[in-house]
Amino acid sequence: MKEQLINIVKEALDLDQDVMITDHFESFDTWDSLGKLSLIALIDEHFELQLSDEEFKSFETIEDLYNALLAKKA
Amino acid sequence: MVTGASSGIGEATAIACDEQGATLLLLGRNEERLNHTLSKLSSRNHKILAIDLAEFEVVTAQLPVFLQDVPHLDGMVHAAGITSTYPFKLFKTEQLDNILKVNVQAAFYLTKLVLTKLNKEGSSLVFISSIMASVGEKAKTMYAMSKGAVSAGAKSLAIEYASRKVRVNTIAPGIVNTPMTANATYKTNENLLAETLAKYPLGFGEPEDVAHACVFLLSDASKWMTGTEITLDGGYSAK
Ligand SMILES: NC(=O)c1ccc[n+]([C@@H]2O[C@H](COP(=O)([O-])OP(=O)(O)OC[C@H]3O[C@@H](n4cnc5c(N)ncnc54)[C@H](OP(=O)(O)O)[C@@H]3O)[C@@H](O)[C@H]2O)c1
Repeated sequence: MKEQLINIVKEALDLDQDVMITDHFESFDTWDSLGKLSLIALIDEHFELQLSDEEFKSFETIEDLYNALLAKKA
Repeated sequence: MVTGASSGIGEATAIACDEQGATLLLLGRNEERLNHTLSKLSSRNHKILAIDLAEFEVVTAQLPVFLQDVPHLDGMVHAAGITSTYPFKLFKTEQLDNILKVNVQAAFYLTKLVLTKLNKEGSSLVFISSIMASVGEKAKTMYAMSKGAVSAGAKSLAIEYASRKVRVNTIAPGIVNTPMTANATYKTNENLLAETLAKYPLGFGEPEDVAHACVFLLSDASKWMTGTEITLDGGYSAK
């Protein structure tokens, strides 16, 4: 799931560089409202999990998001 | 007849029409919320039908039965609809198909089925389109396409049916506070909310604001209006 999430983040934020699970969202230039919207939509599509904009505020790294998704799945 | 009467703009329209003394047919998917709307109305002669208007076979079978004892329809407000906020790079034909099915096909298929029931002395059809039919916003491409189709279709329908005394108009609202917009991104993020509100000189609309325009379009006060769109957006598109 980690690998899949990284690929989803890359697709949502149009990244073609290597992305690490510990990367901060703020470090990506494309991390704007549209990028976030894309990520929310792709997470819904691939994991059938709905995240609100509010929840995203507490995520600094991709790992934070990953942990939140794991907790939701459980 | 009011579709989407189980929520938001449709519900407010049902209430406003009831206040004007109309006898109503209320359509929506959720029976419980249709009954809830019904409980807010003063007259006891209204009827509800819980139906998915995008299930065309079901509509074909059930609507004529529902309309059997109805002598005629003086008007219809079609407020049933769905929204989508989807960045274009995630575009999928299946998703476009779905929104067109609900927002466009269901609207016009229903209209076709009620044509023979329309009052020969005159009737009025109102489609709730959206300001997105004529202006753009990020992530609204698919929704905008569906509403553009509604607004355009209504104009030709107005011309085709004018001689039968059927008036056809659309309302294009900006952001209205309803369950549809309650979870929108701009509502859950303070900065984005302030940014979005700043685009609305009179703030966001309330369902009643749209309902009152519906009452006007249904009534003879608008008897010279057809093929027109009323923009109702608190000044959003005037800038
Ligand atoms: N709110 C806005 O800011 C805004 C702005 C511009 C235009 N509009 C348009 O205004 C209309 C009403 O929106 P709203 O804000 O009142 O939304 P809402 O509160 O979400 O209500 C939508 C209504 O449409 C019904 N509906 C949806 N799909 C249906 C289907 N397949 N068959 C039958 N009924 C269906 C829903 O029924 P159930 O709930 O029973 O499923 C509900 O009654 C929509 O066409 C929307 O696009 C809204």
